[in-house]
Amino acid sequence: MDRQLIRQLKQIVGERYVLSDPAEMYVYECDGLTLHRKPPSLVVLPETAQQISEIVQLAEGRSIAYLARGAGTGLSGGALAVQGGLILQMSRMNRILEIDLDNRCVTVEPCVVNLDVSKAVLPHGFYFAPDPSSQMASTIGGNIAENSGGPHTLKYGTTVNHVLGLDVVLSGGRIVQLGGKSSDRLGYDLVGLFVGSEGTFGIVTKAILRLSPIPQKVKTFLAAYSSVREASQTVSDIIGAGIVPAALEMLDRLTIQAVEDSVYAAGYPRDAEAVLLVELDGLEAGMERLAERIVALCRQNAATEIRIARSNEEREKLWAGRKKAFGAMGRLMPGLYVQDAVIPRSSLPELMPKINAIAAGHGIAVANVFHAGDGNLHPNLLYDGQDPEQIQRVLQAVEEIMKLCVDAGGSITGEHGVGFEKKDFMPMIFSPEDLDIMGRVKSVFNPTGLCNPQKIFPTSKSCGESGIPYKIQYKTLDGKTEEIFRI
Amino acid sequence: MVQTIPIRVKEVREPRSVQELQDLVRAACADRRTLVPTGQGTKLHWGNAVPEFDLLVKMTAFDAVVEYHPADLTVTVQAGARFSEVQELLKENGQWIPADPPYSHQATVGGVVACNSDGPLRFGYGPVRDSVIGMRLVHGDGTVSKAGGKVVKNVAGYDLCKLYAGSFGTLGILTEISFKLRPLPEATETVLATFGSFPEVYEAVSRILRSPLLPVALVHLSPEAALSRGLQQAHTLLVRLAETAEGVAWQREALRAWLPGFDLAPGDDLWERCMERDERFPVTLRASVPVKELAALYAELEQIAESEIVSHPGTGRIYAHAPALPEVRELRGAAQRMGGSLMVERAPEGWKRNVDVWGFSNAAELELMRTLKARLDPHHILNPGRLF
Ligand SMILES: Cc1cc2nc3c(=O)[nH]c(=O)nc-3n(C[C@H](O)[C@H](O)[C@H](O)COP(=O)(O)OP(=O)(O)OC[C@H]3O[C@@H](n4cnc5c(N)ncnc54)[C@H](O)[C@@H]3O)c2cc1C
Repeated sequence: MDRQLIRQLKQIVGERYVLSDPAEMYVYECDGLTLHRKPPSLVVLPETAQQISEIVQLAEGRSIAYLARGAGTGLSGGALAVQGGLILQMSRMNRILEIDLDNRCVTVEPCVVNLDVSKAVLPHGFYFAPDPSSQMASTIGGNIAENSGGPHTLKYGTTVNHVLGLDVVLSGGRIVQLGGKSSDRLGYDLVGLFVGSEGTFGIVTKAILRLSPIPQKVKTFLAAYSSVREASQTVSDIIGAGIVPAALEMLDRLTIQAVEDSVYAAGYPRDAEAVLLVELDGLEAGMERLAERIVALCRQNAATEIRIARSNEEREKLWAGRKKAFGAMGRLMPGLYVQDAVIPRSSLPELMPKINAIAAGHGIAVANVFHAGDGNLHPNLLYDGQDPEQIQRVLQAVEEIMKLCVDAGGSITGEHGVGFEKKDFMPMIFSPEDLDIMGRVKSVFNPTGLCNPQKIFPTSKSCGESGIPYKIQYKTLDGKTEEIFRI
Repeated sequence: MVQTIPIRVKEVREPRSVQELQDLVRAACADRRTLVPTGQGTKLHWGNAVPEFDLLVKMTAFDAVVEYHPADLTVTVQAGARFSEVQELLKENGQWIPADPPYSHQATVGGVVACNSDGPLRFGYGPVRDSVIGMRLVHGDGTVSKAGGKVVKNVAGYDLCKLYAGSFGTLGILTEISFKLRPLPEATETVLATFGSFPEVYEAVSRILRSPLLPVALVHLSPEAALSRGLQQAHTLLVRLAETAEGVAWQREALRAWLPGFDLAPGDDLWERCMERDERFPVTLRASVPVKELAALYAELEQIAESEIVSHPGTGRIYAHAPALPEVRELRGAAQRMGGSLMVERAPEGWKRNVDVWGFSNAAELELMRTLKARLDPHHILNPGRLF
């Protein structure tokens, strides 16, 4: 690697904070999606927005690709350095800068861990609502980039509904402030647009997050079923009854087994084909009656067991099984491919068996644990990463499942993002015109295309595997041509 | 009460299909004619004064409900459908789009979304932006595109719905919008309380915000604003409750114990009246600050503005009426120093020519907005000048 570049980077961030030893690069070769790997050329650990601005200018001056990385728990290859290049590991920017209870918000640096935000404000009666299952590890920067959701998204929305302002560094090293503590903004909603841009618009250096009051009462229960279809039907019936639970999650047999065999054993009934985790929260008054209605709907769909958490410990245990389910599945097979498609929620009973049939057809075991209430599926396809033939079958199954969900009116991703993994599925749901418009929007923030290249947009046949950013020429009606980078 | 069109246009067009609309935009683009997309025209008085537009594009023929799936809590409607009519339809299934934009009886869905128009319920349910899951539109160069989709959770590609909601028809003309819905609350009720001063109102609001109560909206009326709505002449706080029947009752009783001059609001039409802008005043200002600064901003307003003031203390917004221009500048300066903004929501045209209607203060943001507009409306034919 370029010695001069390393020297310059060290001048910016300090001697210790530039990693260039090839052996060290392997730590950064992939995120939570281990199927795709590529070590970066260099890793830099900046501490301030100013340093990031200088790094970006340096990288762009040399046409080197760069991207920000939080905890690396992403599941779509978002933090994959497809072209090698520079990874800005954000770990040093992990401070909570301000807790402002009067305005119900906190200001944080991007590498603060999601759960730490809630921990800091819980004593004051507040919490940060977005709760991805990875919340003990994943960072606010990653959550913002992916617009992460979680079990409680059903009632409280995804990350975008809880971000008020952002400080970002854009192409050219521009340091820009978007939004702020006031809930009204003038003009276009740039904060809303930036959240979910998967690290391809620029680098977040600070975020103002909205806090939510801790609900007065929480009621969590588990319902077990002897078929996935009955569990799915219960989900549809609860939604149909006009009840919005805080969370409505499903785990199937294989997942239950994995959880119960692990240290996170939650006491889920082992002989069940599916369990639902239902949570109500809010005012105590009236909750009992809603709970009774839900229990009745569970019974009506032949639930074999219904268990209500009687204490906080019991509740946490029920949730631990859910939140650690991915980890627990590691016991089943070394390789895990998490699918993230979304379907209209009323089609759960019809589509769940079909998804399982597709996997079975390819001889692949599938464990389902997902956000049933909003139709966001997570079939986990289990495989042995040493066996290329098995990987092929997994990829085929993934594509067929994707088609099934899209044909049902769904989407290819509900919370994990398109990243590198799903970019070639984008044409399933977006036309060339739709993608062209997205490309134009991207070019406003990231005109060089060097910030996290080769994500979201489908591979261009013309540029093939070269990995070089390419330009599209866009003709305006008066015959002028404008050039836009598309990666 | 649709006013006469408050802008000048050479021609009015009413396209009947996306194809017709696309042809119209392309033709306008070719000879650089400017377009104002509009629904029923309830918000044409918003934005900067523009001397004249070439074409007013009425979207009223796009009034169909495209798909409604009650079991999925999603609906897709064309942009020209009236907001209130869509709500009526949804109500049949006990569902709604949780928003209370002003003029909802005239306003079209497209207009409400394009202006991200809201009312006090924004406090409890978020801006209307948060209910939008998909859109179709025709951009300034005639490109027809869609953003988002039809499922309630979706992160495929950039969420351009966030960009278009609140873009005032400057980036594209909306033809179709998909929403996620909520079940209608089982019970709703509005309670009110009276106070001697605004700081006392703010105290009560702070207490409510730190309590387990979950009001969906908070509205404050100055004594004069209360009087003109048929209430007693006193600082009045309206608290809107929407929950289970038991949840509403419990909150009502909690508030009864806390709030001085507690009373039940006289009927739901009071709520409606609080959302209507007061047409007797020619100039309406909308100031927004972080909630904590409300009392300070209110104190400034009391000095300068007309005495009828309506505020939404949960979201930090104040509506006031200004007597003259220098006052606007002064108030805007104050709001900006507090980390907020102040826009002139309505004003006579002559007035508007002499004032910056929006009052953008973040140059870097503005620069990004202008570039976005240039990319999606390369010839600047959609509502040029309205926003910037
Ligand atoms: C066990 C497990 C459970 C999970 N559960 C959920 C879940 O329930 N819901 C869910 O939504 N996701 C879930 N995920 C996925 C993942 O945790 C989220 O996407 C998370 O937000 C990623 O955060 P991170 O800090 O690990 O980001 P990384 O993986 O490091 O990066 C993700 C993306 O964010 C970008 N990025 C990171 N920091 C910045 C920054 N400062 N500025 C700009 N861009 C930045 C990166 O460039 C990359 O594109 C899960 C993952 C695992 C492993």
